[in-house]
Formats: sequence, C-alpha cells, structure tokens
Amino acid sequence: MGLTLRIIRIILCSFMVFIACLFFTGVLNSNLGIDRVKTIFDDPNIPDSISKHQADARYVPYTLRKIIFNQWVYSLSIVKNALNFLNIYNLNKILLIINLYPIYLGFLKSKNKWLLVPVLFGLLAIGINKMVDARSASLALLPILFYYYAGGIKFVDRKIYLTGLGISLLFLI
Amino acid sequence: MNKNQKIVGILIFCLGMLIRIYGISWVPPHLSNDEISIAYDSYSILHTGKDEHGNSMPISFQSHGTYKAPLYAYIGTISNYFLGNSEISIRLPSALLGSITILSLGWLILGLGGGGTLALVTMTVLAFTPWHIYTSHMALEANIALFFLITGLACFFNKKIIISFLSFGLSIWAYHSEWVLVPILICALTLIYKKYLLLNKSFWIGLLLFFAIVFPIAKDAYIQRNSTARANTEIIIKDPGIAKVLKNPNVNMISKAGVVLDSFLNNYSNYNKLGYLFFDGLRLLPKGDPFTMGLFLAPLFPFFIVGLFCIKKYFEKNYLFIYVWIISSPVVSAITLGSDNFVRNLVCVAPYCLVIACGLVYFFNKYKKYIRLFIFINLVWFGYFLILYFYHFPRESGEGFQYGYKQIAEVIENSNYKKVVVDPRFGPVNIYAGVPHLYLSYFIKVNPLELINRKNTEDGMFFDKYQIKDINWGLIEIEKDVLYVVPVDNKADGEAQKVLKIIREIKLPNGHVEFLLYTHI
Repeated sequence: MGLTLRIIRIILCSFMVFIACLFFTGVLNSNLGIDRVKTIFDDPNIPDSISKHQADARYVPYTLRKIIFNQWVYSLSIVKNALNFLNIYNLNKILLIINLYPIYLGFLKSKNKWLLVPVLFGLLAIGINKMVDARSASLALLPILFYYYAGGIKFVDRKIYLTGLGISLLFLI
Repeated sequence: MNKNQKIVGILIFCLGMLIRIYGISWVPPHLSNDEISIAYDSYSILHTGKDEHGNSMPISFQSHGTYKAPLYAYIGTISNYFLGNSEISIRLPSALLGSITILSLGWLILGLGGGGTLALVTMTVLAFTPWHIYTSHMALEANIALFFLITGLACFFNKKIIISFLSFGLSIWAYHSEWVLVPILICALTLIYKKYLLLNKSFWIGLLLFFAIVFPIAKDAYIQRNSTARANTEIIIKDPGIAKVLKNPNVNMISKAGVVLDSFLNNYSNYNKLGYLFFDGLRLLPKGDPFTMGLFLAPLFPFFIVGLFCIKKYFEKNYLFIYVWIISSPVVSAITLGSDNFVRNLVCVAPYCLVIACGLVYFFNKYKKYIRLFIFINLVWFGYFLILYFYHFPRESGEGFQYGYKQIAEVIENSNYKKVVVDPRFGPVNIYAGVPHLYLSYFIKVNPLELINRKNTEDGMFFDKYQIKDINWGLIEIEKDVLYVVPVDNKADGEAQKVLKIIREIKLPNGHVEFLLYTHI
C-alpha cells in the first residue's frame, strides 16, 4: 500500500473513532449537533482563571502574562482528562486490568501499530468531555483493543494471565 | 560511581537543598493546623517535658481529635532549642531530612544495582519534584518518615542490615502510613532474599532491634486504644455508604467484601491517576483552577509509562522487590478515607521517581539527540512551578493555613492589654474553627504550663490572659483595656459597635481582610 493511501487510512480511521467517541459520550447528539455543555469548553472555571491570573501575575509584563496564562490551558485539561480516564478502576471495569497484558503483547507483535493513532484520537474526544461514563466512552475503542488482544493472547504466560484474571475478576465482583 | 558522578551527585543534592530551604518561613504563608500542633508540642516538651495536654513524654500526641506520631515533635525540640519559636525552627528538620532523602535515594539505587547514571537521574527527578519540594517545605511527619524509610532501604541494599532496621523502626515512630507499609516491605524483603537473610546474623539482630524500637508504639497503641483513633476513624469501612452496607444483615458476605474491595480499588486507582500525578494533584491554586500543577512535572509522564516496562532491564536481581515496593506504596492511602491526600501518599514519591528515571535513561540511551529539548522543556515547566509555588500559592492559600494568627500574636506582643478575647472562627461566614490558642501561645511564647492548666468552661477556654470563645456581640460585656479578635464576618454590631474601635485589620496575602482587632474607645 502506498504512503498516501496509508495516511488516508489512518486519517479516516482516526476521524471515525473520534466522531464515534464524541457520539458515545453524548457530545455529539443524534441530530449531529454538539452539546457544548458536556465539554470542557463550557467550564466557566477556565476563562475565569485565565483572566484572574492575567490580572494577578504582576511579576511579569502584561504581554508576557497573556502568553503564560491563555487558552493553551485547554490542551492541558484535555490531556489531563484523557489520562485520568485511563485509570486502573476504569480499565478493570472496561476490559479487566489483566487484559492489558495480551493487548500490550498484541500491540508489540502486530504489523498494524498505526491503529494506536485512532486510539489517541478517541482519547482526545474523551478528554474534551467534562465527565464521561467509562463503559460508553470506550465503546469506540473496543474493536481496536480486541484486535490487539486477539493478536497477543496466544503469547501470554498462562500462569500469570490466569492469576491476574482471578484478581481482576475479584475486584470486578 | 566515579569521581565526576559523585561531584554531580553533590551538586544535585545542594540544588535540591537550596530549593527546599529557600523561603521556608513564608511558603506556605503560615504554619498549618498540623504544623502548629507539632511546633507547640515541641516547644512544650522542651520546656516542661509535657505535651499540650499535660502528658509526660507521650508516645502518641493528641491533636485536633486525633493522634500524631511522636518523632517529629521530639526532633522539633532540638531546632526549637537553637532557633526558638518560628516557622523556620519547626520546618527546618523536614527541609533538611527531605534534602538528605535525595542522597539516600541515590544510594539506594546504587545498592539496588542501578548504576551511577540511573542513581543520578533518580536523584535529579526527586530533587526537582514539586510534590517532594512542597512536603519538604512543611513540618510534615510524612516527610521525615519517608527519609527514614528510604534510608532504611538504602542501608539494606548496601548491606548495612542493622542500621537498616533501626531506620525502619524510626520511620514507624515518624508517621502512621509506615505502620502498615514497613511491615509489608520487611516481609517482602525477607521472602525475596530469604536465602541470603535467614543465614545472616545481622538480619536477626536487626529484626530484634526493630521489634525493640517498635514495641513501645505497639504497646501504647494496644493499651491506649485512643492512640489508634486515627486508624479507627479514617479507614474506608467508616465511609457512611460502606458502613451502611456492612451493617445490613440482608447483604451477604461476598457482596460486603465486594463493596469494600471496589472502594479500595477506586481509591487505589485515584491515587495513581496519571492526570492526578502529572497535571493537577498538587493543589497550589484553588480547586478547579486549571493552571495548577501535578505532583511531578507534566513532561515526565510518558517516561513514567516507559519506565514501568523497563525496570527489569536495569535491576535484574532486584526488580521483583521494586515491583512490590511500587505496588504496595499506595495501599495504605487506598485503605483510608478520601482520595487525594498527597501527604498520606508521599511514600510513593520515591518508587515513582525511580520508575520515571528508568524511563528517562531507557529513552535517552536510544534517542540522545532529543536530550537538550527535553531539558529545556522541563526547565520551563519547573520555572512555571517556581512561579506558582513562590508567588501564586502563598497569595491564594492564606486562609487554608489559618493565616493571620501569627500577625495577631505580633500585635499582642507589642501591646499591654489586661485580657485578650479571641473568636476562633474564620473563613467565609465563619465556617471554619481554628486553633488560635496554639498559635498565640507559640508565637507569644506563653509559659507552656499556662496552656496545660487551661480551663475549659461554657464561656470558652481560659489560659494566661487569653479567652477563646465564639463572640456574640449581643451577649458579650465590653470591657476596657481588653483586645477583641474576631473574623471579618463577625463585625461588631449593636451596642458593641458604639463603644468599640478597630485598631487593626489583619489581611491575607491576597489583600482580603481576615481578622478585625477591636478595643474599647
């Protein structure tokens, strides 16, 4: 497959996962309208903090304050939300924590490592949300994760995997 | 470690110490509730041999309805002797031991077989970690306990087994989290290195020494059930929701266990959220402010993930213990109520620094060309932390640290009132109750016997010339030559307003008035 085709494939797939994640988290509704209230862009804390710090930080000239304290903080909030979503509790609820082991192996062995890019776009969509339900938010990511899981399950150390499965199930119950 | 590496190590230590000691008198802007309790007990022990409540040389210090571990209060007597009653005096032991923790951690990495470069990188990560800088700037029991724990591990892996157990024992004297974590780690060490340890005479002597050191604490906890009040009140099963399920006879045992396990996993997970660790865990700014910092510098988060996978590569012989250390460190915090107490979870800072350092060494061994960019980004981020920590944080956090009582003490010290009446409430609509009796006694250097012999009546607490009570202007009889200290939301009204004048307003660092000082016209 040519490079251009590969790039188009990655972009298309990422776009689909991104849109699907927005849909499953309720940001995008069935009329294809955007529910801004559910996103961090509706959080009054952020613009308030920006103007507060721009006024307060008198140790630097005003021009510099506008560079330090500005909209870039939205990107920090998105990354923070996405990383917080990937916590042990959510991961156990979504796919049982031990399954990260075959998924990791599957990713290492897979020839389609590019599928990680759509996952990152999915996480970006999750990060835009103020608050998400773990199970519904991850629905769009599950096919990719299952793909890696299927590729990696045959390589796992059965003893470790079964012990881990027992512990993961214990916490799930 | 070669000579150059040793020089770099000393430089890192000196820089770390400089950051930890600079500004300890004004960042945080005031002694906190817990700090003043330790500071006052140190002062009282030094002069009377008794704590605030009159207990002689206690093993657990009663404090605000709970009990504190004893070591800090005793260490504080030394600095109190030399430096008197001040913020520096009580915070200095934490700052010094926090700085030495950097050296101990480097020594531990060497003992674990990580090599000089990894030891230096780990030391650097810890030296510039906002979480550890914050806790080293405060008189926190958790911080000195961390020092003893890391030193204990460092001694263990450098074959100084007896000193190692001595240090483990002292860590238990230093903070409650270590009561659980240290026994877990000792068990792990014994199991993992049983072939070497069980035949080693030093191990048995060390273990005996450990039990001897810990015995008074264990005995005290057993005999005086009160000293375990903290464990009784702060464990997750005391959460109202969980307690309700546990008491319900219609819920079976498996479901009850499931509820407790679920809550434990949720807590454990919250303490390990990457967003919390790298983006917003360190509450330097009010809750919800997106410009706040994580416990570690944010650009380090990818290396934390990479590091988790390459520990085995750098610690071939000891990786099992390191994984046990990483996994067990947040356990104590996870079994307690609340989910974002970064002081209680401080024991995790060292293993997490190690993980980040492994990630860094692994990555930059492969991609050396990016190292300058990485250093630049981290320096910018650290600079941002310094701005937040030394400028914004003191301005924003005054109220949380009961700011104002030291300033009130200075006013009282320079005047000659026959009586001082203090309303202990503060904050918006007076929602908080402070501990002015400790702040005033400490900063004015009231004879500790006066506070030990205080009287608690319906009309408040009385000691020396001080009365601590909620002031109701309609009921109080205004006297001449008396100073009335009230929160700004309890302004004099009615008849009192006519005979009183404000002699001083105590302002928070952000300029908001917090307390009003009145006297008779």
